[in-house]
Amino acid sequence: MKTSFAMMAFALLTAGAAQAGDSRTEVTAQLRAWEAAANSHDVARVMALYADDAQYIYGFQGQEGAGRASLEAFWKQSFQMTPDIAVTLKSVEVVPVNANVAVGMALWEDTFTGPDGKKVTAQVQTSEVFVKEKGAWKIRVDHASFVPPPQPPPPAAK
Amino acid sequence: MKYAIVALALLAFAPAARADAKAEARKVADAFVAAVNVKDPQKSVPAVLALLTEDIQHIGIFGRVHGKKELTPILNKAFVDPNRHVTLTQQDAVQLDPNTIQSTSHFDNVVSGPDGKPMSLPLRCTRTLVKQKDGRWLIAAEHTSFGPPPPPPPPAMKDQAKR
Repeated sequence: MKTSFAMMAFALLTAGAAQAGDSRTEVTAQLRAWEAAANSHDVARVMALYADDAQYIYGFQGQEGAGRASLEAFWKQSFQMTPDIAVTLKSVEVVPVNANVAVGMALWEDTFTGPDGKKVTAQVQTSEVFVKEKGAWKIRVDHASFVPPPQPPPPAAK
Repeated sequence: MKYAIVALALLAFAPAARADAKAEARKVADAFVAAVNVKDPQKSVPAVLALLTEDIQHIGIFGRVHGKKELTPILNKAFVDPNRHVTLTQQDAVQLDPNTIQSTSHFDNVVSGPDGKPMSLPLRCTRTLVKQKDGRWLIAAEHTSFGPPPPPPPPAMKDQAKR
């Protein structure tokens, strides 16, 4: 009897670990898919990765909104304004919240030509809250902002 | 028939769940504001930390932070600012599932500017709140960024300002 409890506990623990492992792999794959979609400048391909009621907050010019139409308009305008934009996913950490919610925290490098004709490279940090809808991970909240400049070391470390 | 009853019950529950999510997220946002606004950093830092999970994952104006261990020295440093004051200006939330709420807050964050005088910075914050075994909602992941600058005053006010 004791053995069967131990076996059940082990099975539950390994199932939980496997679930977390799966969401890490799957959410990372979705972020890679987002990278490829953004680099294709195909708005429909980008939009396919979002939930219908997705919300976005972008720290670049204070953009904020919710819903498919608003997000679609944003991406259409972005690709028109920066036709050579390219994004590179530099690193990602996935925070598995539970079986149906996970947060992808990522670092990106965006390159594009600025209004003055000069090439701009920007470091961008994002948190994407993913929800599982009909078996597929979709972005429910997309928050992006510029990486802040390095902070000076605390006094004790100087 | 059985499915129809279940569906009706779920529909009846949905608005209540949404209202609860908004109320719970508002409580956390209010508690955060109250904690930050305690003038003594020795009290305010633990009060803020009490709202976070041990392994809080943070992206924000201080960069990427992993867990309370990394966040504590950052808060200790930031909360020394005598002009620090936060006001919650907007708050919304959605329930992602029974144990997860996604909260969006807008803050007016006053800090000391380069000249030492108070300076206001609008901040926007998205937070994933996770229900604990004891019923508390704690922040498991958050992202804070500078919000848009306030809109320009309407033309009539601009004219008045010129006079």
